[in-house]
Amino acid sequence: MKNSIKLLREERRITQKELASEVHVSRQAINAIENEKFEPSIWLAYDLAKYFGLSIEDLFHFEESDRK
Amino acid sequence: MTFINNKMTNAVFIALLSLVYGGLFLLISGHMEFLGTLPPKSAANYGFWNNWLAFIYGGGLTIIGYIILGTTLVIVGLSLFGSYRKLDEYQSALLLKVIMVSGLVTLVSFPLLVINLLSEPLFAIPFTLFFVVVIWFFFQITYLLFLIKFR
Repeated sequence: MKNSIKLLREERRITQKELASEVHVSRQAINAIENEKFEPSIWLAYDLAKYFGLSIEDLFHFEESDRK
Repeated sequence: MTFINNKMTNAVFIALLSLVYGGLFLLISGHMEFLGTLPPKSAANYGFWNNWLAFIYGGGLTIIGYIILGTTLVIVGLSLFGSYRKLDEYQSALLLKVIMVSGLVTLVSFPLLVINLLSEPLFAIPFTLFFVVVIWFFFQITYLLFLIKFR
């Protein structure tokens, strides 16, 4: 799923590892989410949105074409 | 599927099954009663199966037993001393895929085993041992690679 995590993370000048540490997952998980290879659970999406001070809908771009 | 999140739980499960497989192979390898259940050397005309039979007669199961136990030690070591104790949801999802692929290998192996047993019943024990080794090695190696990727 498309998202703004990479953009926001780079704006804040933090590494994937630092962000991973903030939301208690591995660096690989953040990398996979940024590259749209993995869709996080609702709780991880919530933690990421909370970290960036956004809503889940603002962080993750919901598109009908992505619906499985 | 929260039970697969804990690396030590996974390691204990793998260690227990490996102890059974590895211990069994070490126990039966070269054992006279076990060798008595095998078909005579060169009983089949298939090159590969004759080689496998010769390997068993030559005590090859001892090597396999030690490899299984050695791989288990590495798995337990990586689970104990790796960076993460618990897998996150991304790692768990990947591990589930590993388990599904191993399950698929097992499912595909069974019909092949049955076909081989029906075509050459004399080779029942070498066939079964071969499939057990393939299935367990496949699972051990894929799990080991998974641990190395996320150590």
